[in-house]
Amino acid sequence: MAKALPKPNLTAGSLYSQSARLIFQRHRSLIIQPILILILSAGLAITLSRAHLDVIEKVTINKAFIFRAIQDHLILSFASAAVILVVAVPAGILLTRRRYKKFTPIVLILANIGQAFPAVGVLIIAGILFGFGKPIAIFSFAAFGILPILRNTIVGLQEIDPFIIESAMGMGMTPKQALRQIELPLAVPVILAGVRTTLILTVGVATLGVFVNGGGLGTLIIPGLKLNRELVLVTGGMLTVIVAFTMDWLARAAEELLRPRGI
Amino acid sequence: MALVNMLEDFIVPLSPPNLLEFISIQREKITLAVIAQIELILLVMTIVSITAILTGLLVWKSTAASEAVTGFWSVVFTIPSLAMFIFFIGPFGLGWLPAVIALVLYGQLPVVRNTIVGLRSVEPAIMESAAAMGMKPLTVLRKIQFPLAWPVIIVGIRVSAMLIFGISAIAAYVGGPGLGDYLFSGLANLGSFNSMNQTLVGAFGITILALIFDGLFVIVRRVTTPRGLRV
Amino acid sequence: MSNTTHGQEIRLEKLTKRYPNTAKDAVSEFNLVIPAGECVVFVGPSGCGKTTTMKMINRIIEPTSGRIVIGGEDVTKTPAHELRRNIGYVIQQIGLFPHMTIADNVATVPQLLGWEKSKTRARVNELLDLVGLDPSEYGSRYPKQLSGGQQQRVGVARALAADPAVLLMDEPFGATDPITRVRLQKEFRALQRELKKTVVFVTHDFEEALLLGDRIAVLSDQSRVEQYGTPLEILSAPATKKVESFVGEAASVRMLGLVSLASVSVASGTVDGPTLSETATLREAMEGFITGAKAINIGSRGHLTFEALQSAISSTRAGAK
Ligand SMILES: Nc1ncnc2c1ncn2[C@@H]1O[C@H](COP(=O)(O)OP(=O)(O)OP(=O)(O)O)[C@@H](O)[C@H]1O
Ligand SMILES: [Mg+2]
Repeated sequence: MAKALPKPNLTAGSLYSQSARLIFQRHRSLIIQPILILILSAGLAITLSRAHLDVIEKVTINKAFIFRAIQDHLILSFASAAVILVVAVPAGILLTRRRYKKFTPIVLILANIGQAFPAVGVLIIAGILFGFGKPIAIFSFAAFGILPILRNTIVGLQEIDPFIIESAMGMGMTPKQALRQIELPLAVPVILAGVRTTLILTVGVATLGVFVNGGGLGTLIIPGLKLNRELVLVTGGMLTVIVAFTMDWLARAAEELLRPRGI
Repeated sequence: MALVNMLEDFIVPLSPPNLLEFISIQREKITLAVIAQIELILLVMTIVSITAILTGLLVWKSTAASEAVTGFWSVVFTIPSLAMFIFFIGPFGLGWLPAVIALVLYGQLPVVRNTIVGLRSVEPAIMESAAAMGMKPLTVLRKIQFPLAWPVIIVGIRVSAMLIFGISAIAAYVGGPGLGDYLFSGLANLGSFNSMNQTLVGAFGITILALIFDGLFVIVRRVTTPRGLRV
Repeated sequence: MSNTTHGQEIRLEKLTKRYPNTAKDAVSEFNLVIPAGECVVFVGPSGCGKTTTMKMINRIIEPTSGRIVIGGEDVTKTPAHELRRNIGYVIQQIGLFPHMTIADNVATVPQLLGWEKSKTRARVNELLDLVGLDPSEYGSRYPKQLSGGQQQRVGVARALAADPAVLLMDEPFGATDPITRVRLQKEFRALQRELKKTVVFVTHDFEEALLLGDRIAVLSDQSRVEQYGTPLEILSAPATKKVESFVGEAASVRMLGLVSLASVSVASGTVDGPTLSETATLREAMEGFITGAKAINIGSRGHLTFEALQSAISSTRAGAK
């Protein structure tokens, strides 16, 4: 009777971890997803090998350009993800300690506001203020991603059963011991989910890097749009999807492998 | 009217306008963009709510179907927004239609998922009691299960709306309506007086609207949550 | 309570349940006649099939085969929702609807049956009174605003709302603390004496079975009936080893708890000592002597000596055998 309804996590970024945790059967999808990725890749490769490219299309649809775009895309994604994680995870752990707990509500409110701020907005404002280029893109993506990931980390850590920690303290552990031996191991899944969510977030926004000359797969999409070349457009779109799916799959497989047993 | 608006863009003021001046000069255009933005969100959210709740109602009973549907929308959700929009430009051309379709697809996951979770989290004992009192299955759903799941469902709708606000900015790039236009004008006019003003109007306009919606949702949630669940 | 519907006989014939993907029947060819107006308690070890058997009566669990006859009518194929509106149902988790007030919870079945508003309201007040909750105070509250024991009372009131002939109860008091539990049990016993519903009551607490049951069905694996009889019969003459082990060591003490002092012969006059009412049991009298009484006054009828109690006990034993 007293069992409360599950408290849904409100952030966009947490959609992943939640749906995965609650409903998605990981193993099945871990097998289906690479098959889907292979089919998409094969389809794209066949289409491109058969297509007659005009001069304009040849500028972008060639191996060197495509690999460059993918490479840049990954650089943008990983670099901004790294910045986000280095900032957000320790900050999240700190903000759930008793000493800093009083700041969590402020952070959560800020995160809520930040969540409503469009990613392109951050990017363009940063572009106008600081100029164009990869570092600016990475900086903007990180700025965009830190709050939601911080929020996820805090909410995830708060969900750890307080009685477990209480009983650890009750057994005579110091707060530090409890943190190291009990809380952090219990927090590993939260942190792993954070890593995955971050990567998916940054792989998505990295597409926008093109707007500030940051490279990435957007460099295939935008010219396709401007020059009205559907083949370029679709190639860019498909590659983006393939890269996003692959990252999602890798991140989920990693999460599956690294998660401590029993949790 | 339209001519005046066009002219405004070409009149070069003697000193660069600050943000407030910019807003007051562009008042009418901004108002139109705000209205377009609200219309877009309302349209998308209406479609999302109806389709996603119906999906949830259809599948919640079966674990396999629930997993399949949530899994599907999770995968759709990973598709970067710019890519999603361009897929619908092919068949539908530039404009609001591809924008609406793409946004509706993005919005599904939170609502479908929360509908399923909400319906499933109603305690079996409560459902069993309802059935044991002689309610038909649809009555149980209508009078007991759905009202109890509603607070969870509306949170899904709220999350979905926030997401869609953020992504709708990018929709402007493929001709979608709303404040996103200002963002990309800011980018296009880089170096001009108004580039920063335009960008700020676009970004903060969307943010402020989103927060207002968020506030409204909190109120709607309170009002529509059965009192017994709040005490 | 005005003109209540008394209980109807329940006849269960070869009732069988096999859950999907299981190796054996959870309930296998269960036969039992539950007389009209009696409270029959199913007891037995965990997992023996008590709940399954009970829930087949209102077809919350659909039987695999067999027949259910209530009041002479075969209800095995009646639309389930119609059948259930005539059967009250109380479970351990209570299952009150959290989004409805107490009054609305109790009014659910009357509303399903399309009663008039005024009639429903009067009925709700009557029932809340009956279970000891002041309607004006509790009617507009929500389930969360009530204690566990109060919630369970609402559960009973709700089950009685449409004046059903049959009441099914699955460990209804199992989740309450021991003191509340005993109080609820006693209240329910008094209520049942008044209402004379046909009650099927599931518990694994043998004491509870003795207290509440007109008859007890001791069940073992797959809901096999080891013994079906009055509490006294089961205590004094366990039919099988399993029943004996279930009855346990304290059988004779328990038996004393079943016989009231009304039939015991007493010496006239009151003495200096404790007083028990006529509805108290031999067991309570025994406890009085154990704690040092020389003699016990039985109401105003007279007093009971230890010798008189002993002879009452031996004649009870002999009578039961
Ligand atoms: N839904 C189900 N699917 C498969 N097997 C079930 C199901 N429900 C119950 N069973 C099995 O049927 C048997 C009888 O279960 P039942 O719940 O009727 O027992 P019980 O006597 O009420 O036990 P308890 O005292 O623990 O409540 C058990 O072996 C149980 O495991
Ligand atoms: Mg049971």
